Amino acid sequence: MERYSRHLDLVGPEGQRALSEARVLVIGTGGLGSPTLLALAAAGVGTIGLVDDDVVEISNLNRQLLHSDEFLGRPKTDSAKSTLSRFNPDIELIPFAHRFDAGLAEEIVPRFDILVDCVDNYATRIVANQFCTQYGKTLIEAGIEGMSGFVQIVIPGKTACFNCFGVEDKEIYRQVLGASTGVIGNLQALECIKQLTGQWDGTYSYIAVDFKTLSIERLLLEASAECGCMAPPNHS
Amino acid sequence: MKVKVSAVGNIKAFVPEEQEINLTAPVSLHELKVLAGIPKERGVMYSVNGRARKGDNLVADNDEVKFLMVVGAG
Repeated sequence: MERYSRHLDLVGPEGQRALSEARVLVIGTGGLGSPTLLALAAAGVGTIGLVDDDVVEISNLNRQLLHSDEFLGRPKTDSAKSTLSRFNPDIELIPFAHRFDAGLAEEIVPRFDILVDCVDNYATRIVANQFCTQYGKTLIEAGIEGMSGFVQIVIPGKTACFNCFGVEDKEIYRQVLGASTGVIGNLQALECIKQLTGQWDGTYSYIAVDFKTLSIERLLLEASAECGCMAPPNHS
Repeated sequence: MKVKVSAVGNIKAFVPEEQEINLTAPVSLHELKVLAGIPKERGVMYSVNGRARKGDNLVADNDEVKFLMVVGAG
């Protein structure tokens, strides 16, 4: 418990117990996934699933703090597990070196309490959204675009999900600073910890950050009445 | 018919301040986006009176519409 003594007053013993008993699935171990995973591991989240089918490339190393030159060409899940287990040996790390497609989602989403989506493509976001809705799991979504980023808290049946907006695929602008992914990834981890420890106050579900002006906006986005996410989950 | 529009995040580059738009006939959210000065090809998400909506929905009198940045890189 001494490891967590500098945040124990903030979450309380019950909160720390909730974190240690929590099972969090993080999809993507790259720019957003690196700070998210480090913060969740540091906070003592007991079981963390890591999903990524990529290998470490040199262009990742401007921002993906879990990885380093020694892991170039090797699976990101290996690199991430190695770094995180050295960072906090008391937690369980479960790597899935596989694309997060419908087959994998069907198999593993029911085994986790909450999902954190740290990917860089629409196809995976749609799958994560679909299975979180289906199983009634909270999803912490995020994205970066140049000097802006956002975090979205999706609670099926309450706050807006990805499908509520009917977002269509589009070309993604891939220029991104490591410092920016650090801010958004840590915000994702913070919101995940607040969900797990009962500290989310329900007054917002979308946080937009402008890195140029350093302005932060918060909105509560209710789910669309026409969206399938308003239906009860198919599975418990 | 009047609707209020505003933008969040990097969409403020196109709609820096809240503005009121007068319409002679109902338009879709996609059409409203362009009337507000956002390029047609620019992806956004829509919130109407605090609720998520798809872009083909029509706006109604006194709606408050927000244009939100859409997900990008990770």
